[in-house]
Amino acid sequence: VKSINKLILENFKFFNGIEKFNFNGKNVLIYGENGSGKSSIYWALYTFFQSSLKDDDEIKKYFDNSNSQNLVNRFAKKDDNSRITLQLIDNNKKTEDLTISKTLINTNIVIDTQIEEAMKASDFINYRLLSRLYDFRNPESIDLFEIFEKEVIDYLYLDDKTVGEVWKELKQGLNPKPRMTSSSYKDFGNRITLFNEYFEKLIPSLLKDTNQFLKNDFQEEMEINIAYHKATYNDFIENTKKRNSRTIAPKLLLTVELLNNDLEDKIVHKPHTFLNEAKLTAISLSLRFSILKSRLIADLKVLVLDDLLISLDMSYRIEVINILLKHFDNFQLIIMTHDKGFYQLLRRKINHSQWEMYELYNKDNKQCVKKADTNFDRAKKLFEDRNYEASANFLRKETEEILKHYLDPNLKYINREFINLEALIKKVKQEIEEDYIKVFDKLFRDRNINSEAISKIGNFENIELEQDVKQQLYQARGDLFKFFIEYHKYKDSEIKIFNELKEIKDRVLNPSSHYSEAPIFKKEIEDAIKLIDRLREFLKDKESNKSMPLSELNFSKKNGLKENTEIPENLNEFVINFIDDVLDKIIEIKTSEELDVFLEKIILINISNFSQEEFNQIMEKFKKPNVIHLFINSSAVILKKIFQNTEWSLNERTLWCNFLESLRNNPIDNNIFEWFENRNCLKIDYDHNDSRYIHCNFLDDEISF
Amino acid sequence: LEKNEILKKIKDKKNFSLYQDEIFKNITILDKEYKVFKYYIKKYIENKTNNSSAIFGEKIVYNTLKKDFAFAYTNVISYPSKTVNIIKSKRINLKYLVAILNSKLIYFYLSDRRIISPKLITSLPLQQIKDTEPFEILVDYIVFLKNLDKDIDKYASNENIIKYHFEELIDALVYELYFKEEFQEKNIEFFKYTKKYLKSIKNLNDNEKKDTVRKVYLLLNEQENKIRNNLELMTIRLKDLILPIKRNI
Repeated sequence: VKSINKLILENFKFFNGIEKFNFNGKNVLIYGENGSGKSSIYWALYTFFQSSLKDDDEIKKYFDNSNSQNLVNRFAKKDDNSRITLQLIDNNKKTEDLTISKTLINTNIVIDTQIEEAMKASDFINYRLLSRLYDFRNPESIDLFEIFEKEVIDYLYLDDKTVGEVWKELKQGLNPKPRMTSSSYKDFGNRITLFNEYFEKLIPSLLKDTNQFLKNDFQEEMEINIAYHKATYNDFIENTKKRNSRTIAPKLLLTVELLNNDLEDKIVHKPHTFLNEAKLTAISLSLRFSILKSRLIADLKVLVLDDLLISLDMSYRIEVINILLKHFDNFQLIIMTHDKGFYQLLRRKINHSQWEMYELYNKDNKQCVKKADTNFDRAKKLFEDRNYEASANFLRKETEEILKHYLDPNLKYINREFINLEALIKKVKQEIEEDYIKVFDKLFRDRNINSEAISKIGNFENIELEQDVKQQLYQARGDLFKFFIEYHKYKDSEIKIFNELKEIKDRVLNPSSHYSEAPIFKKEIEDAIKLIDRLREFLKDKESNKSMPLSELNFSKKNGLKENTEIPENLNEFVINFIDDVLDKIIEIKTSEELDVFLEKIILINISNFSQEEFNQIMEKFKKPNVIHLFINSSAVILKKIFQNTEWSLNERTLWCNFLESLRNNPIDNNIFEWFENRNCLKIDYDHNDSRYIHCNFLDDEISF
Repeated sequence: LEKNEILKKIKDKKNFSLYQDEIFKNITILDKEYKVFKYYIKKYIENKTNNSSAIFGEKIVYNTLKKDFAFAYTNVISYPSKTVNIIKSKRINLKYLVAILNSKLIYFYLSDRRIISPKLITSLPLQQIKDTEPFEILVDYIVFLKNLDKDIDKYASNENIIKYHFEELIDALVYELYFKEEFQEKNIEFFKYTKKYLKSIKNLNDNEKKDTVRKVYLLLNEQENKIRNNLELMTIRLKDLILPIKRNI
C-alpha cells in the first residue's frame, strides 16, 4: 500500500515558486479562503493522475507558458520551471518521486502503470455535484445523464480514456457523415456500442450499492431505479424512414419507489414532485459513493473532496463525513473547504495523529500556506518562546476541547459553547460517575436476584438458600469486588487529575485572569502541559471503556447522529450561540414536538436576550413553509408564554404580529392565534391606500392572565 | 502492438484442431414427396442405431455468418441448416470448446471473414488443456440463465449478468490461456481465482442453481473481488494486447 508523502507544486496555477506539502502519508485537511490556491491543489492532483493516460506532448503544454492551455503561475518568468511532483511512500517507508513538467515526465511509462492504476482507484468530488441538483427540478422526469455529463463522467474511465472524453468525441458525431458502409461509420457505431455497454454494465451494481447507502446510511425509506436509454447515432427520426445524422445522448431515467407507503402505486415516476432537497441530496451522494465503491483497488487510493458538502447544514455534513469514514477509510483522504467553521469542526473530530492540516491564505495574490498546529502544539511552541500567557490561552482551549470531545464524541452539539471550564469539568465528572452507576446497577438488575437475597450478599455462605441463588450471589459478589477495585482505581486518578485541574484552572486556564497583576510562572505552564497530557489519556481510556469493569455489560455512551435536533436537558449550563444554536437549529426542526422543545428551551428562555435584529431573523426562519406548518396547538401555549416573557419595543411588536399573521395563513391550524385575537393583540387593518397592514394591540391588561 | 503480432501470438498457442468430419453442415437432398428432405433425418431413418448422427446429444451449433457470430452448446435435437452448422467431437470437452469459440479472442482472430466455413473452423488455433472445469462451470451458468424466464437479480437482467460478468470472465480466461507469459509477467491471473469463486451447479436442483449462480454473480461484483479487480488491471497493464481485441466488435 502506498500513499502520498509529499506534494510539490512549482509555479503551478496559483502557486508561485516552490511550495511543498508534507502529507506524510496521512489524510489531509485543508482550509483555504477563496482565492488562496485550494482548487489549484485539487487540479494539480487531478492533472497529475490524468497525465498517466496522455502522451508527453499533451502533458508538456500545461507547463509551457507560451502555450495557450498552460497552467503555469502567472507571475512565473518565461524560463522558470513549472511542475507537479508527488512523492509516494510505501509500507516500508520507501519513497519514490514522480513528476510532470516540461522536461521530466514519468507518470505515463508503459512498463510502470502505477499512476494509471492510482487514478482509476482514486476519486475527486467537488461542490458542484450537489449544486447541480436543482438543475433538473422542472422537467417531467429526472434524467441523471445531465448531471453525469457535467460532474461525473470526467472521473469515470472507459479503458484508456475518461468516459467524458469518449462522450465528447461521440457527441460531435461524424462530420461530414460518411457512407453507412464505410469503415469509419462502422467504427463510430462500435464506439457508441462500447459506450452504451459501459453504462449497461455499470448501472446494476450502481443501483445495488446506491440503495444500500440510502437504506443503511441515509435511513431513507426509498429505493431508486435507473432505466438506461442507449445513446444512438444516425437513428431513425420517429415515425419516418429518415435518419437524423447525429448523436443522441443516452438517458439515465430515475424512478423512485417508496418503501414505506400505503399507496397502491409505490413507484414515483415524476420524482421531482416529491423529492425534497434532503432526499435529492441523499440520492446524489449515494450514487456518487457507489461509483466510488466501484473503483479499482490499487496500491495508491486517494479521495479528494473539494467543498463537497458546502451546501448542507453542519449536522448533515458531519453525518456524511461519518459515512465516508465508515466506508472509505482505505483511501487517503484529502478534504478541502473554504468554510472555517466546518474546518474547525472537523479538526475537532479527527484524530490528529492520522491527519495533516493546512491553512491557505491569499497574501497579495500569492499563496500563504500554514501548516496548522493543534492548540496543544501551539501552546507548547509558545511555551518554548516563553510567551507563557499566550501559551496558557491555548492550553485552556485544548482542555476545553478534550472535555467537549469526551462529552460529545460524535460532535452532535458541535457548536455549543459551554459556559465555562468549571461547568465542563463538572459535567465530565458527572458523566463518568453516571456511567459507573449504570454499571453498578446492571450488576444486580440483569441478574434478577431478589432484593432479600441481595441484602445477604455480605454473608450468605452459612445461610440456607437455593443453590442457584447462592451461585448467583457468588458471581455477583465477585463482580462487585472487581467493580470496586476498578472504581477505586478510577476515583484515585480522578481525584488527582481533577483536583490538579481545578488548581491550575483559576491560575493558568482562566481566560479572564489578569496576568499582568501576577505573572504566570514557567513552572505552572510546564505542569499544566503535563497535566493536560494525562487528562487526555485518562479520558481516552474512559471513552473507549477500556478500563471499565464488566465492559461486557455494555452500557452505551452517546452515539448516532440521527436525532440531531434533540435539545439537551440541562440546557441552562450552555450559553446560546445565536447562529448555531438558534438559526441553524430552526432549519433542522422536522416535527412539531421538536419545534415545541425548541420554543420552550431556546426561545422562551432567551427571548429577552435577543436583539431586535436577531428576533427578526428568527421570525423570518419560522415563516419558512417547512417550519411554519409545524406550529400546532401545543406550540400556541408556548407562544403565549413567550409573548408574556418580554418587554416589546414597537418594532418588535410589528415583527411579532407579522409572524402571527403568517401563522393565520397556515392551513394546518387556525386556533393558534385565536387567543391573541380574542385579546386584541392581533388585528388586521387596512390603510387608506387599501394595502393591508396589521394593527397590534399590546395592552398590559390584555397580556396578563 | 500490431494486429499481426497479436494474431501470431494467438496462432503460436495452437495445439489442437477439429477435424473436418466433426463439423456438420447442411446437406439437403431433393425428395419427390417432401421437396426438401434433411440429409441427417434421412440418415437417421436409414439407420436408427446410429448415435453418432449429428442431430442427437451434446453438440455445438453455430451460425455460419460472422455478422451473427454465436456458438451455442445444446443437448436438444437439432440439425444443420443453411446458416447453422453443428460441431460434434469426442476429443475435446464441448463446453470448454464452446466457451473458446464464443470468445472475443476467436472473434478477433476471424477478423474480416464473413462466413465461418467448416474449413475455417478446422484451422482455428484451438488449445487442448487439462483443466477445463472453470469453463464448464461458466457455460453451465450461462445455459442455465438463458433458459430461465425470470431474472435472478433485482437490478441486473440475466442477459446483463451473462454478458458483463460470465462471458467477460470467459474472455479473460481465454486471454490468460493464450497470453500466459504476458499475464504472468504483469501479475494478472484469473484461473487461480475461479477455483475460489466459482461453484459447480451440476447435480443441483433449479432453486439451488439459481441461488448459486446469483451468489457467484454478487461475489464477482464485490469491491474487493480479485477477479473484478484483475479484469480492470488487465486492461491497464496489458492494454496493448487486450484493447485491440476488446474493441473489435
